[in-house]
Amino acid sequence: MPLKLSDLTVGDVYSEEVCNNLSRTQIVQYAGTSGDYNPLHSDEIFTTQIAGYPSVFAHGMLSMGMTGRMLTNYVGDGRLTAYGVRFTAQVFPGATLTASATIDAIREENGEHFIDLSVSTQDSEGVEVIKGQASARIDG
Amino acid sequence: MFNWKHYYRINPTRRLPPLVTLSPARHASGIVAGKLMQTAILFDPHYKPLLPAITRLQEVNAVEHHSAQALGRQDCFRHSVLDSSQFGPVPCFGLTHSLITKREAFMAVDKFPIEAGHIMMFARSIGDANPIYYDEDYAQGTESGGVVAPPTFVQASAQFDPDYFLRPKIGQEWFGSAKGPTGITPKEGGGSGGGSGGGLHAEQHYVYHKPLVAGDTLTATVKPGKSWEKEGRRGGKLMFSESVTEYRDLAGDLVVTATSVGVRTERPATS
Repeated sequence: MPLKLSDLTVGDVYSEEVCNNLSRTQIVQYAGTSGDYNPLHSDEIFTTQIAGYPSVFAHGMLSMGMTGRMLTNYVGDGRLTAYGVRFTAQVFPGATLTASATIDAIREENGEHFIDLSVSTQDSEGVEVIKGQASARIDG
Repeated sequence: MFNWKHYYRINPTRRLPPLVTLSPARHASGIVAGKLMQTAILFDPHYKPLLPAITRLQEVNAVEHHSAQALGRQDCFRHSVLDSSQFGPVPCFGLTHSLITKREAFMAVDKFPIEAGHIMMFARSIGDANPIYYDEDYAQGTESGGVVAPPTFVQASAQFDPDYFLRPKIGQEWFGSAKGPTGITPKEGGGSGGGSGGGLHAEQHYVYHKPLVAGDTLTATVKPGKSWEKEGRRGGKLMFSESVTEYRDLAGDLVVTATSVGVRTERPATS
């Protein structure tokens, strides 16, 4: 359901758990659908022995995609007008991530209403893995 | 022909000469200029490959023996390995990652069909059970009037990029593990390891102009964006560069603008 202007206040927060105990299999699923088969995300042997990481880890774009689910659940389908992030930490298998959006501004442009959101996704230790912004069109 | 002017535009902080000097005539043989530009970083004086078995000279030699397409992949292989070695965040790459050093706009994907089955699988992979991504009957009753794609779906246009470097190619070595920990055949007399700045995916931004609906067909055009520098905490100077991908529908209307920010480190971030 799209958001309605009269229901919203600057500072409102919406959050959602977007993954719980992230599995290597889900990372493989993402590799398959996105087409990014970098072995760092699925090949434990390469990643530990050649690249020197403790384990495979999720695509940044998987974290961005999961965070996007929180956004579309909040603002409605087809309502995002912009969505951008910085990748601030790696996400390893086993991660449990919570994504949240905070309303920074509510504005009107050419008779249409929009909200600007700051976006943050954190793991269960409180480490921020995604930091970003989004904007969405809302109903007047 | 290799164009040093382009090289300086890509790496404004770098000075001549490259450590390995090969005549432009030799480069030109069998290698197209556009692809060669993509590999300008091979001549990065700070570059050290991560894989101990591969020296830059060998890498350049390998480049000489590759076709233009394989040459792109060689570059990418190096990128990927370097990416993995340091500087924790974001070793994830988008469509444009391999193309970030190119200076001119070009068509990256000339046909990106937005297929319902692909959307369904993509939504599953990001853990999104929203029926608008797979249930046509449900979707018809919504504002969008049909199955739409999730916000980050255009990243999957890599599937339709024939040269995408993070997909194994038939008949080519793949750098992931096989019999050994990497499928790349080690070179004789390897040099020292280490690793200097590779490209990392630092940021991703999308602007949505029109809903992305199943049944659409898009094209993707990539062009370079801004570049800037910043002093990093661990990796010395950080060199950021943007590339901007415009996804248009068959009518030529802009559907999504995707801006990818890559970062290169001056020296290994871990030392």
